[in-house]
Amino acid sequence: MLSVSKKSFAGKMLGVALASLSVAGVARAEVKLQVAYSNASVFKAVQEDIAAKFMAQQPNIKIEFRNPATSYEELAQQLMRDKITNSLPDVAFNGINQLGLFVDQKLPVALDTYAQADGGMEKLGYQPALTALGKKNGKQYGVPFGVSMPLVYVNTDLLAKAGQDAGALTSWPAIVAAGQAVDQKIGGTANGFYFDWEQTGNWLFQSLVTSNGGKMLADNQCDIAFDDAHGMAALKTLESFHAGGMKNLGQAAGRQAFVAGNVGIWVSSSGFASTAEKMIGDKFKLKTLAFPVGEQNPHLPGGGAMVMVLSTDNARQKAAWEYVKFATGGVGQAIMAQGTGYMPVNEAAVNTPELMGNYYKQFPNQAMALKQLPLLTEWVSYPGSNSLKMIEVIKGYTEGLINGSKTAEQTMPALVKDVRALLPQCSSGK
Amino acid sequence: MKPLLLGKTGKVVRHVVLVATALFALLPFVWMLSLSVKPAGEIFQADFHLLPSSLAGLDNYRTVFANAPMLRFLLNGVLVCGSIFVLQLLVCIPCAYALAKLRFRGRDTLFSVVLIALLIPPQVLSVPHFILLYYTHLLDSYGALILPWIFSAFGVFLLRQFFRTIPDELIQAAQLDGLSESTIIWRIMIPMSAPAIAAFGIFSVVSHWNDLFWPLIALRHVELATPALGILLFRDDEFGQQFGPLMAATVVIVTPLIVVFLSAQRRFIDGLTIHTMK
Repeated sequence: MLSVSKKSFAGKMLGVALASLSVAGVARAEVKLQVAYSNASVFKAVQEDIAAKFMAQQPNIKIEFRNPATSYEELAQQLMRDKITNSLPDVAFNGINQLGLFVDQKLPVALDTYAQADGGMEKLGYQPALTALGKKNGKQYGVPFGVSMPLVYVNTDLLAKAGQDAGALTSWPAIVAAGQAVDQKIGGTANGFYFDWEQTGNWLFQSLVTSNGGKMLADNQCDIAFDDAHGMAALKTLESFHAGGMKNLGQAAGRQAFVAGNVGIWVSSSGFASTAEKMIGDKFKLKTLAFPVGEQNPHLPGGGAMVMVLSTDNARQKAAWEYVKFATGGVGQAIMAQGTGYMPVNEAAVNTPELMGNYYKQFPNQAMALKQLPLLTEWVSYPGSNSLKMIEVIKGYTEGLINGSKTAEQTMPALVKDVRALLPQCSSGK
Repeated sequence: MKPLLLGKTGKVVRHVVLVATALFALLPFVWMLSLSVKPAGEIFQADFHLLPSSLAGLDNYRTVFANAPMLRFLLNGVLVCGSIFVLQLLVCIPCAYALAKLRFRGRDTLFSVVLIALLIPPQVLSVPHFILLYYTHLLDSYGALILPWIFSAFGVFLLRQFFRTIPDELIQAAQLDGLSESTIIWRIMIPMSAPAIAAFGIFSVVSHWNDLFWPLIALRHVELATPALGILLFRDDEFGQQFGPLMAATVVIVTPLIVVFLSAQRRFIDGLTIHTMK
């Protein structure tokens, strides 16, 4: 075998070889980012497309996707588990309404320094109303990834059969009356009107409150603000749906019934517009209308996704910021908007003809939501550790109004009491 | 009790009832197959068609294999379910033998504990399992999918009941011939218990193949995902499912199970008929 001197020489050579390999490794500095997202059936193709184009542009950064979660709320639970087991991803996409929850749990990193270094959020092309959605406590924690707003979908053929004019549906009483007319004149398997009240995070309930000028939470974020006349008006609108004969079809069944041509008017998210057009095909003529709003100070909560950087390591944070910028920039947003039906958050996507091209001219039904953007406000995520539970509580009371088991007057005090019990205690001075 | 003697009409009625019930149970599967070959426009229609009007729906299967690594998921399923079953046998058979054939103090108490363990739903144990796997750094690995299930109270119970029907004289004869306990287990008891093991295998493989709850909690890597997680990639209650690919994915996942079940079922029946000792 090797003599002692030869062995030590061989050992030294091996050591040098290993050292040079490690130096070479450091010099290449490839960063691997773990990215988590949810709702694979909508986002998988889009996310992989964006990642592929990003990696082509930036060969030093590799994007690895985690197994997609089923929904925003489930991904939120997964991220909280990951925080405990110290296995958080570097970048995570989630619903805009969950930002409060994540900030409370100290998950996302504030991106203000990175944004300032690049000239500020407006210079990067983000619309100010949307940027505001990603801010909490004055810091930019989330960057919007796609926006949707409440939208009214109309089956104009079915309405015409019942002698109703789709253009006259500008208020809730008009919509409920048109629905009743469809039920009475056509009947059978046709439903006049369905309001998708089960939308995640009480989104459409919040829409009803804010559309007539109300607010969900008080300014100090510690108390609810919908126990006033605006909130009562929202509850009464829900009550009127049941009185007008709206059946509680359920979220999935309601959507299926609409695309099959069995529902006259369907109120849901604009994010579904592109899928709806594909699923409807030639069955009937679809028209989208604006969500009815009141006169005084109306707002509509913006739904949709945002992206956060969770990594605490400096090199990975920088790489993650580059990826976030790309995914929410012109190219990324064009891919996202055309693949999912959400609205792009970056003006570069809308204004550059090669990116969105004549997409909105070709699909006017999907452009409807863009017109409602000036009314955009926050989709509220409830403060404190009971946030997800509060969503369930409000959903339960909404269901009571929809199926007529409670009246608006009965619901308000019980709802307020139960939600207040779940709010966190507020200390003076944050 | 005498067997029911039926006249000709009785037999016809019996067959009609059985066929009707079977059709009723098979109806969801027939519908699933039907939807899996229909294109998106045909799925929601006012009138009812079982067969698609064009072959465009076969695209659904192409979508399934293109948009999701289904072969990988199926392989993972085979690996995980196979490992679980083998390890379960290695653990449960000696336990069942001891509870059935050996005499020691506390044997009946131990069996009562096994019966109580049968009452516990697996979801209740998910938090302790999660914590244990976190401390042993096994989360997000094949170990996380396999290890929590290797002790099966149901397996111990089923095999113990079956072992009890094997006459003690057989075991005593084997001991007289000089065989050790482990040789008795592996060379005598197991071949005689083939039907029970096959039945247990069917339960175990089917339940772990379809298990969604635990892999959803324990896994993060797509490469480790099991078949049930594969279907989730096509399912979305919020934004609307793509029913064609969803049904096609379900057909892809259910088919191996049906094939395995049909072949194991034949063994099961063979095992019952060959067995002449009793």
